[in-house]
Amino acid sequence: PPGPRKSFPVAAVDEILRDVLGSSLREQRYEAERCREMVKDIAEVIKARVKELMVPRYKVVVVTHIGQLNEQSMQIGSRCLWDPASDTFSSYVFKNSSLFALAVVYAVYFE
Amino acid sequence: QMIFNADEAHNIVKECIESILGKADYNHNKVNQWTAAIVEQSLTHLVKLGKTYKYIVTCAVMQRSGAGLHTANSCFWDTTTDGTCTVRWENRTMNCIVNVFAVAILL
Repeated sequence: PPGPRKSFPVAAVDEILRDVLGSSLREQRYEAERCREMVKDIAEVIKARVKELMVPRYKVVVVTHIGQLNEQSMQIGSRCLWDPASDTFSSYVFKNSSLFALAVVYAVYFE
Repeated sequence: QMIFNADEAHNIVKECIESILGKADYNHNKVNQWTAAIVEQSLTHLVKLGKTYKYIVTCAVMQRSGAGLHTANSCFWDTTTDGTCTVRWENRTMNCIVNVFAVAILL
């Protein structure tokens, strides 16, 4: 059965996530208003850089979270109904002393 | 042409969250199975709608301690057929955010 001619470059996306989260947040302290804006900007920047990889016939969903590091507990999970032969994801968690950030990129083949 | 019905998805997800978290207090030992159950049940119900979509469902459950959490998404897709909805829910001890992304395929 026909599948994607070019497979999705997960390693390149891992690198994009590490680069964008690290450079945007390294010195950032948690502040509600600033983080509310940054979480959107980061999602847009990641999407733009993944698009630059120009992988044909792939749709891309980027989800970002930024949260304050207190003593609270949390769990973030996801499930996908898709075709594991062609679809994939990449994720990265960033932490400093004040906040944490999670970015996930889902790549879905347009069959 | 198919369009994503966000209200329909919203209702489906809200019921799934209610049935799993409704009467519970935040419990670190259970939260893993709760998030798994919420996403799996949501997916099962979405699939029953019988539409030609691939789905991505994400769920975050957090203990209510006053800490802030922000989430955003950015999608590169076909805006005429594909769509997303976000459901926010809370009770006395926890917050829950579920995102559904529906990506159309050609059959």
